[in-house]
Amino acid sequence: MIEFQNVTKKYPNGTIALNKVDLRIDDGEFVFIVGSSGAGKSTLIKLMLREETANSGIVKVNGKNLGKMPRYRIPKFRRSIGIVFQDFRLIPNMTAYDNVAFALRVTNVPSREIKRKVPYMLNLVGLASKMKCKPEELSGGEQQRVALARALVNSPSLIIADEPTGNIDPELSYEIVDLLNEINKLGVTVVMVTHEHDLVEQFNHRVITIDKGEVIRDTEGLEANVC
Amino acid sequence: MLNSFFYLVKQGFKNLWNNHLMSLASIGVLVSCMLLIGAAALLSINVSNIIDELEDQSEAIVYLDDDLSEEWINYVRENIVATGKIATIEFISKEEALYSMMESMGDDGILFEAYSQGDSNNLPDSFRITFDDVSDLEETLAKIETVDGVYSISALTEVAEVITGVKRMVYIGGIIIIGLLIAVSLMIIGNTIKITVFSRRREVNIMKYVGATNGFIRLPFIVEGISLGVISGGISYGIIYFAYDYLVKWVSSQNATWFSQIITDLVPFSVISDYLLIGFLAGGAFIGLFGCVAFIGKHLKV
Repeated sequence: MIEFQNVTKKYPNGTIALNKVDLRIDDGEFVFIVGSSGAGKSTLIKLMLREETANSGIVKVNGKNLGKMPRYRIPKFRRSIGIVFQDFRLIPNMTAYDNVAFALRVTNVPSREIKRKVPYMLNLVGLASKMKCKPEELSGGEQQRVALARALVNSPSLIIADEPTGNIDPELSYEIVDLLNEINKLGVTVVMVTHEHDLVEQFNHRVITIDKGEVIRDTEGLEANVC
Repeated sequence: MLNSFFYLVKQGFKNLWNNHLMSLASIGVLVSCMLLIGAAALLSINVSNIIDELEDQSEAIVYLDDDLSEEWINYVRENIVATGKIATIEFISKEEALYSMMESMGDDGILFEAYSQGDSNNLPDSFRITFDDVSDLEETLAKIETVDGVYSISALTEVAEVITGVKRMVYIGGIIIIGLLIAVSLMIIGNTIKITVFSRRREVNIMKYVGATNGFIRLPFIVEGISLGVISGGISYGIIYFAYDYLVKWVSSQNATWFSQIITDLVPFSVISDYLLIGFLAGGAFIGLFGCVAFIGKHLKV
C-alpha cells in the first residue's frame, strides 16, 4: 500500500513540486498517474522510491514510513519494488541476461537460482532468444522489456513505472502496458506515470491527475476521463 | 555472500576491459607520475650516496705526545673510538710517518735519511681517522683533543662543513621535490579517477535503483582501482629498471674520468629495486583504492 498524508515537497530553488498531497493506493491496484510536464509526477515517484524526502507530511510505502527510513535501509526497501523508467536504465556493458541477473545478485541469490529465474523472466517478456545481447543491440521496446524482466525478477509486491512507454512505438507501448496489466492480475500493485491519454483510455484503471503539485482528480476506471 | 564477493571481483576485472579507454588513460597518468617520483628518488639517493662517499674520505690526523707507552696509545685509541663518530682508525708510528714522508718526496726523500737513525726522528706518533658522520666534526675533534696524550689534531673542518651543508640541502631538497611530485600526482590521479567515476555515474545510479548497497557498488570499483594502480606500478618499475640499467651502461662506456668516478658511486639498482617495487605497487594500489572510494561517494547518494 502507498499512502501520502498531507505531503509537501519544496526544492532548494523554491519550486513547490507537491503541495499538501493526500492519496492512498491499495495493494493490488493498477493506477495511472497523469499530468502535464512539471506537474509533480516525477517528484511523486522520487518520494515513493525514497530518492527524495518530503518537507512535511508522511509518505508510507508497503507500511514503511520513508521519512524516517535511515539511508542504510534504502537498498533493502528498493529490492521490494520493481522500477521501470522511460529511458530503460539498463547497464550498458552488461547483456540482457546480466542486467536481469544483477537485480538478483544484489540480494545474494545463489547462482543456481539466478540461472533458473533469469531465463524464465526473459522468456516471459518474449526475449529468450536475446539473452546475450547488450542493450545497444536491442530496440527500444526490447530494452524496456528487459527492464520489465529486471523489475519483476525479485517478485516485487509493487511496480513503479515512470513513463515506461515514452521512448517506444505506440504498438509496442500497448504491449508493455498490457504486460503490466497481466502482472497486476497476479496481485502486484502497479503505479504507472504517463502522459499518453490513449493508453489510459484503453485500460480501464484508476487515474490520478496531478497539476501544479496538487491532486486535482482521482477517478476510478469506469469514470476515467482524461481529455 | 562468498558467491557475491567473487562475482564482484570478477566484475571489477571485467570493467577494466569494458572501460579500456579510461583504464588506459588512468594507467598513462599513473605511470607518468610514478616515473617522475621514481626518477627524483633515484637522483636524490645517488647524490646522497656520492656525498656519503666524500664524507667517508674526509680524514683527520691526531698527533700524539712524545714517548707514550703502548698502553697509553691504546688508551688514546679507545677514547677516540668512544666518540662514536669514527669509521676507521689507523695508528701511524713516527717511523712510518717518516718513511711515508720520504716516499712522498721522491728522490729528495733521501735528505731525511739521517733522521731515521737513532732518536733523531722528531715526527710524532699519530692516528689517521676517518668519520662516519661529519655533521658535528668540530665537537668530535674537541672531544678528542681533551684526551690525555693527544698533542694536536689536523683536519679540514671547512670541507666537512661544506659536505654537511650540501648533504642537508640534498636531503631536504629531495624530500621537498618528491613530496611536491607526490602531491601533484595525487591531484592529477584524483582528477582522472573523478572523470572515470563521473563517466560511469549512470551505471552507479542504476545499481542504486535496483537496490544495490554502497558496498556492492564500490567493490568492483575498488578491484578496478587497485588493479590499475598495481599495473601502473609494475609498468613504472619495468621502465625505470631498463632506463637505469641503460644509464649505468651508457655512463660506463664514456671515457671521461669524471664519468668513471660517478659510475663507481652510482647506487646499483639491486640495492633499491625492492623498495622501489614495493613502493610503486603499494602506492599504486593505495592511490587506486583511495581514489575510487573517495570519488564514488557522492554518486552513491541516490
